[in-house]
Amino acid sequence: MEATKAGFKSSLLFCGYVLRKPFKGFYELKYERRGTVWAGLVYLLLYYISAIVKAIYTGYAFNPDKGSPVNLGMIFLQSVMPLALFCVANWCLTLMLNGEGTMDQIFMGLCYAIIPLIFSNLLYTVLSNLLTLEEGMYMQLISGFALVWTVFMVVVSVMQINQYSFLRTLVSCLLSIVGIAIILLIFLLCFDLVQQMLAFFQSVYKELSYR
Amino acid sequence: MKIRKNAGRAAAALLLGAVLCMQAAAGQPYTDYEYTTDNYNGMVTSDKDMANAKPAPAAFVYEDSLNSADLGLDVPLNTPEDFTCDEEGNVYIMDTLNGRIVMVGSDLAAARFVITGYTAEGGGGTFEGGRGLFEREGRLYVCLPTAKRIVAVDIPASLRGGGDIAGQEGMTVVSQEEGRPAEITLRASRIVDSPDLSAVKDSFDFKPTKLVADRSDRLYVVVEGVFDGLLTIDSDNEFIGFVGANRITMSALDLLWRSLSTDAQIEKQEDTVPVEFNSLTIDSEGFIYTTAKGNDSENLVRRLNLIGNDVLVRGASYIKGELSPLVEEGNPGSPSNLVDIDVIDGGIYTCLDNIRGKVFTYNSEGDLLFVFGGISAQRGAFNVPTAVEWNQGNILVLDKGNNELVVFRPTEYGSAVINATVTQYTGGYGASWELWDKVITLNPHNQVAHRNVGKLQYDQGNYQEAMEHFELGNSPELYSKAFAKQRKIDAEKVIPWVVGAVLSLLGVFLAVQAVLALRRSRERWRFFREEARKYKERNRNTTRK
Repeated sequence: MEATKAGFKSSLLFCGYVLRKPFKGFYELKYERRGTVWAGLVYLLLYYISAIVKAIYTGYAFNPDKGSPVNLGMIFLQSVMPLALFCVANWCLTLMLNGEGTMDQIFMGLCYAIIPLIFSNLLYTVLSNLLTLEEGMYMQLISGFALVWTVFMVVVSVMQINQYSFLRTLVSCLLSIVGIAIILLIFLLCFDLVQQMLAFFQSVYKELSYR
Repeated sequence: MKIRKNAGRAAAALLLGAVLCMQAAAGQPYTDYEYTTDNYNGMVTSDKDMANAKPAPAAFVYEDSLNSADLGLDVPLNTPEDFTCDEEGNVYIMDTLNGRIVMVGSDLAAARFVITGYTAEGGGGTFEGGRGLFEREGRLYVCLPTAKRIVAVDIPASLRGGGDIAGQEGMTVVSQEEGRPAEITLRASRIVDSPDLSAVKDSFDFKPTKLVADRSDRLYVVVEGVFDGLLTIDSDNEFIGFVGANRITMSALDLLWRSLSTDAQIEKQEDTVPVEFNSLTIDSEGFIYTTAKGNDSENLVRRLNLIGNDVLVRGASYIKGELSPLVEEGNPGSPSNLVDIDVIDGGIYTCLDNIRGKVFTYNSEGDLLFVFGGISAQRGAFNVPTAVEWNQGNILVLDKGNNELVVFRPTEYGSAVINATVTQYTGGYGASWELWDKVITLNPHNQVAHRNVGKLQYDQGNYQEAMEHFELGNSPELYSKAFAKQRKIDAEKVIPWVVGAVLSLLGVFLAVQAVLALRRSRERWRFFREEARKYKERNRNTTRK
C-alpha cells in the first residue's frame, strides 16, 4: 500500500495544497509521499534569497543601513540556521518522544511551512519602497500575519509528521527550542575549547621557535 | 604618446607630493573626526562601533599657546582653575594658587594687568584658592571656596578698552613697572557670604566653585558637596532656592532591594547621591547650561530654564562627549568628564572633556558639529585641561597642568559650519543654503549639512533632491516625509496612464466580447434558420404523406 514517490515538479506544486489545507497537506506529504527533499531545499533557498532581497532592497525609510555591505553569512545565520537547528532538535526529540517522523520528513515539513515567510519578505520589500514610515504598520501587520501563519504551519507539520496529539506537539515544539539552546551551548563550548587548544599549540610552537 | 603618459605620471606624483606636504603642514597630534548616527545606539562594545566615528576635516586648529613668559609674568601662573572672556574679547585668568587674576587683552598677547586682591569695608583679601570666574557687563564674579565667599569687582571700562592704568575710582595700583603688567587691587562691588540655609539644610558649607549671574544679578552657584542643584542667590544676597537638581530615579528593583535591607544597610547605601554639577554657563536668552560629573551618562549636559527644567534638545545623538570610551587607548571604559561648557549665539555649545582632553561642540538640535584636542605633550594637545571659552570666534582652552592658555582658530571648514549654523538659527533660513552647500563641498560626509540642505530643498518643493540629502544626512523620518510628497507627485503622473491603460484594456475586452457575441448570435441565427428549414421540410414531407 506504499504510495509511489511524487516527482520533483509535482512535489513543488504540492505547496499550494499544503498552504490551503495544512492538516491534509502535511499528512499526504508524508504518507502519500507527495513531497520531496529537493523541493524542500528549493523553498529553503527561496527563503534565503528572499531574506537577502529584503536586506538589500528594503526602502531607505525602513532600512537606514541601506547601501552598507550586506553580510550573506549573517543573513544565513539569521534565516536558515534557526530552521536547521529546529530541525535537528526536533528530530532528536521525536526519537525520544515516539515520533514517527524521519529527519527528511521533518525537514520537508519545515521547508513547506516557511513558504508564507518567503511571500511576506518579498511583499515587505516591495511595500517598503511604496509606503512612508507612518504607513509602516501595514507592513508589520503583514509580516506578523505571515509569522503567525508559519508558526501554525510548523506546529501542524510536526503534529502530522509525527502523528502527535496537539498537546504533545506543543510540548515537543517548546522542548525543541530548549534543544536549540542546548545545541548552541555545546557548540559554543566546543568552539571555545578548540580555540584555546589552538592558542595553546600556537604558544608551544612560538616557544619552540624562539629556542 | 609615451612622453605624455610619463608627464601625466609626473604631474600625479607632484600632486600627491603636494597633498602629503599639505597634510604634514596641517599636522596635529590627533585625528579629527565626527560621529555619524548610523547604527548608533549608544552602546560601544567593539572596534566595529568605532567605525561610526568618521574622519572629518579639522574644524579648529592650534593657533598659539600663551604661557607665563608670553604673558610677561615674572611670577608664573600656578594651576589656573578657570578663566572667562568679556564682550570685548579680554581674557581674565583665575591664577588659583597665586591668588590673583591675570587680565589679557583681546589681542591675546602680554597680560595688561594683574588683580592681586580686592578691598572692602570689612577687610579685603586676595583671591587665594579662587575657582570659578564669571563676567557680565564689566563685573567680574569670583568664587572663593577657601574664603567661603563670592566677590564681585567692577573692571573699569577704560581698562577693558586697553586704556592707562591710573586714577580709576575704587582702584589701587600696587605696583607699576615698565615692561611688566601692573598690579592693582579693586574695590569689591558685591560680596556674598554664606547665605542662610538653616530652613532647608542642617549643615551647610558654602564652598562656591562655579557661578553665573543673570540679567537681574541673580547668582546661580555650584557649591562643592551640595547635591540639591544650583544654589540661587538674589541681588540682595538672599538665598532663593535650588534649581535643576539631579533627581535619583528608583527602579522597582531598587525599591524592592531597599525594602529588604536593614536600616544599617540603607545607611551605607546613602552614598548613591545625585550627580554633582561640574560647571555651568548662561546663554543670551537666560538659559543655563550645566555639565555634571560621571554616572548620569544620559544627562551629562543640561539646559535649564528659569524653573530648573531640562530643556536641552538631544536629537538623535547622545550629548555626553566621547561615544567610544572602550576603544580609547589608555582610558578603557571611562565616560567623558565634561569639566566645562561654554555657549555662543546660535545655540552652539562647547564642552571640554578633561579625561581625553577633547573639545566637543554641538548645535542647538543636539548634533555633534566637531571634535578636536587630545592629551599629549605636543602642541595643540593638553596636559590637564580645565576650562574652555569662546573668544572672538576662537576657542580658548586653559591647561592648568601646563599653566598655559591654548588658542584654537577655526579653519575654513570650521567657520563654514559655524556660519551656517548661526545663520540658520537666527532665521536666515534661505541664506544658510549656500553656507551649508559650502560645508558639504568641504566635507561631503557632514550629515547635519545634508539634513539642512534637504530641509531647504523640501521647502522649495524639490522632493527628489530632498530625499537624496536626507538619505545622506541619515534621517529616515525626514526621508519618509519627502518621499510621501514625491509619491503624491509621481502618483499624479502615473494615475492617468494607469486609468487610460485600464480603460483601453476594458474597451478591447468589450470589443472582443461584442465581436464574439455577434458571431455567436449569427451562428445561432444560422442554426435556427437551418432548424426551421429542416422543420418545414419535415412538415412538408409529413403533409405530403
